[in-house]
Amino acid sequence: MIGFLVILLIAGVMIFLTLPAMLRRRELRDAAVYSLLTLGGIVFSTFAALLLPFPSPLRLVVAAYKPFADWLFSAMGWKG
Amino acid sequence: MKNALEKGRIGSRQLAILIIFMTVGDSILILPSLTARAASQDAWISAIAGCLLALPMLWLWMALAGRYPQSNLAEYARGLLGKRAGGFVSLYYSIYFFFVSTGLIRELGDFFTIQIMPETPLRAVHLLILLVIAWGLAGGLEAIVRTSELFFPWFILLLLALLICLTPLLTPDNLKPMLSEGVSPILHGSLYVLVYPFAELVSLLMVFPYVARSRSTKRDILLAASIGGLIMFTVILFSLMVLGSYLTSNQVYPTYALAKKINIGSFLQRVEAVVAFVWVLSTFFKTSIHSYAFLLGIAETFKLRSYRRFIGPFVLLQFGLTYLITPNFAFYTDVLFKYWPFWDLTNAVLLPLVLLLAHSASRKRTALKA
Amino acid sequence: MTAASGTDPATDNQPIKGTLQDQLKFIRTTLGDSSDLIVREMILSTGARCAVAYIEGITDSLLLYHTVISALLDLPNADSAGELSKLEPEPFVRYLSDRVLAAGDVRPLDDWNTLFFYLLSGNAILLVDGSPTALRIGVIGFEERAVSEPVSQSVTRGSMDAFNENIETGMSLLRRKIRDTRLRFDRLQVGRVTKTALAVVYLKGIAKDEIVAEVHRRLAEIDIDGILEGGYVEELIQDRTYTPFPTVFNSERPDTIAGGILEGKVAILVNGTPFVLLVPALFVEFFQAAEDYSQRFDISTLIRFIRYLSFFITTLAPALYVAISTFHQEMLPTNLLINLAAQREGVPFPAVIEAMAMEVTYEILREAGIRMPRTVGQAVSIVGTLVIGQAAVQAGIVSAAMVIIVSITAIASYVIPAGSMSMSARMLRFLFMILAASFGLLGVVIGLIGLALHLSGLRSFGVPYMSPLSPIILSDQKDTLFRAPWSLMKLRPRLVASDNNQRRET
Repeated sequence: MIGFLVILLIAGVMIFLTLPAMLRRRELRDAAVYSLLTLGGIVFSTFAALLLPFPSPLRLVVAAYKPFADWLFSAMGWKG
Repeated sequence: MKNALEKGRIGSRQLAILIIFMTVGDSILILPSLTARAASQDAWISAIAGCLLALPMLWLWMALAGRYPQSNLAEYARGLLGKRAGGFVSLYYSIYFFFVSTGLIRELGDFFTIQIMPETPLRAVHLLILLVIAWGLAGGLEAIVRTSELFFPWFILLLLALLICLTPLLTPDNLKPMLSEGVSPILHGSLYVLVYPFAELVSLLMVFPYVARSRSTKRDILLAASIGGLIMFTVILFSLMVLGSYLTSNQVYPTYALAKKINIGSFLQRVEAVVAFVWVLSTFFKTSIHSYAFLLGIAETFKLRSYRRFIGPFVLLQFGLTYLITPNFAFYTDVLFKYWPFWDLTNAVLLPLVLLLAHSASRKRTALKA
Repeated sequence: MTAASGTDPATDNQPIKGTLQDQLKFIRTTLGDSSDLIVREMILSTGARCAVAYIEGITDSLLLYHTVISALLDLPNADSAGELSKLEPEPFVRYLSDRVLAAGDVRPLDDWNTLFFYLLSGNAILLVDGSPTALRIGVIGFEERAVSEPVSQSVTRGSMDAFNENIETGMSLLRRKIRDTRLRFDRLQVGRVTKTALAVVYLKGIAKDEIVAEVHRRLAEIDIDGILEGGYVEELIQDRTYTPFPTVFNSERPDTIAGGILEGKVAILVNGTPFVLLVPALFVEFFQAAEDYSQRFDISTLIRFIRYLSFFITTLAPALYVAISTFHQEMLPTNLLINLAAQREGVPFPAVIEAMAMEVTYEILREAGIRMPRTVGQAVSIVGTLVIGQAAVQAGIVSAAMVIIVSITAIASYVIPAGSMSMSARMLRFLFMILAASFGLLGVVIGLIGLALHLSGLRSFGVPYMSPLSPIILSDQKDTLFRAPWSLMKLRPRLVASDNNQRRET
């Protein structure tokens, strides 16, 4: 839980230091991307900090290339 | 280049040094094992083949970058494929760069927590590395590149010293029998040599427009890639000759094991920290450039004012994902062995080829109109 | 000297007017009837009333007597035809300046601001009744420290003179070393209250014009009440404030400064301090001593290596000790490891606490050594050997190895010729110790990378701080890590000097 709070605190400080300035200068696209990235960062960091189970994003890569890789490895007789 | 996000300029020699660092990158530690797993004692032939295969890829990139000397990958992807598709491609590339750097940081973290400091928590190591990367990104491209220049003489000197110290241990018999299983395993091994040192250099397509070009730029790039390839070849060859193919393929970090073997007159020993230093250095530069490419790519995709202000969110994201990217190191090496090479090749060869074709198609269209 | 710039609120740039008595009264009230203000009123043989005002102690009164007062009082001898008494006050002042006053530096002035500036810098002011123009007579003279041996940057071979607090003496020392028509001294003054004199010195055509202009621009931007030392100026003109590294070089040695000027650098002399600033400053320059150029090149090269080594020792030695003894014992040869372990057996603290405590103790000793009166200096060394030495080891508080590490870092920090650079090293040492204590060698390496990133991003007056190491400039390597023989050093530093960089042909 402490990890989560620390992350929230750091993210809060970060947002406080940059976001108001961006909004004041009407850089809305920057602000939107910034909030999105920070939100993602908070979510992922929390998972990592609290050691919550999370499926590896590499499984997407595996899923995308599995058919091709399997075919190639067996066709070429490579050690898998 | 209107409204450029990057104001710094780097020289062609600086680019060459960066390329050498990036080719050596993480490969110096993980490549020998992967290659030997595929090609056994013929892995050194795979190294040569892989370097040769890398040449057309480099040519492809230079052809693409040469068409648009003023723009980075994200900019001409948008120009060629239109606003939607181009934007999607540049976002996709940014995510790819992000995950390459995630993987690199994870490799560093795993190496240190497995081999050197078992009591240190993995996430603390990640955080330390991320902080220094953020520090570099805040300094900008120029600072990163100049730092690489500052370390370069040391890097080469230490690497050379290491290799020279290993020469008494070389046993050429370990390379026999040659070509016992035919060409297919060699081809398999060359896949990794092509992919990890070279294909991941594709992030440089984001950096090329900021290189102050001279007549020797092309030559410098090729020369640097060849030097990087030569280092990789030597490291693989030495691993095989000193450790033998079995040990090389069954160790995760053969180069580190190699350095542990050094013992000259029983006073020069336990120099494996030098390997760790070299590896941290080269991986740092590779990671920094990929992180930079991610930030710049995101900024180009969404047409943002500056990339620097996104360093904070980047660190937060990366801190989470370096831990989550793989449940354990075995899964990661498995992906590295079987799937990641094809992802790299898609982004380093297939997509640039599509872009190049789109370029010549658009040229033809304009020619027809005229 | 250029006219006084900053306006004094009391005088506010008003022209000098009114009768002599009004003028004198104004001077007296403005200076608050200061006791060191001397006003000598005279009635000349022509019947003109005039007065000489000066500040006692910063004016050479003997010179003033000979060149001004006696010349004025002897006026009848010059004026045999009696035509002088017919002159209007203003032409009369011009006549005095042209024909009578026997001083070298006599100039007219006509506003209060300038008048007070010169009066307070030691000039004598001559006022004539009815004239709105006054004369200032340069008879500055005060006690100053003689040109003596350099205190902080001593050499075994090389010139033994050092700058003193007087800016004119400093300028003359440089002029004596560089007798070239292109040597320029641009005088200006900075500081609202102190109005400190500054001189920007460079070789026209060899120094880059942009750098000279940049120096002038930054000096002009300084807005502060007082400049008492070059350090004030340094801090106000440096490229980046938040860095542990000095980006302005300073030296009290005229030969070092002259050498810098010959390379195309710009020197800034500040009145009141013997330390002259030199910009742009590069990292490697802080490791070069004046002696490097008077000794044989091979010896100099060797000694430079010792200095770089010392820099690394003073920054990293305690950190490496902490890292290796806490995290990487397997890196040590077995015998050494057993030896160290035996020493540390009774030590109650972890290595990092031990190292921190000893380093802080040393820093305290060092500071005490500087601050304490010379006569009790002996006491510090006696106490010092007790706290950092055998007694501490015997007490079982620290290990003997730690004492050796602290001593070598302390000694190594004095090898770096520039004091400002060794300060940076001492400061960074603690950072590296913390990194080493938490992450071992990885921490040290990451710290080094971070340090390199910081250094590579620094600039000094637009010149990359780490050049010629990064960006690598091969032609400048001859005077960087090595010191090549003079016969091979044909070019001036590339990023510093202007295009006119042949050492020989200019």
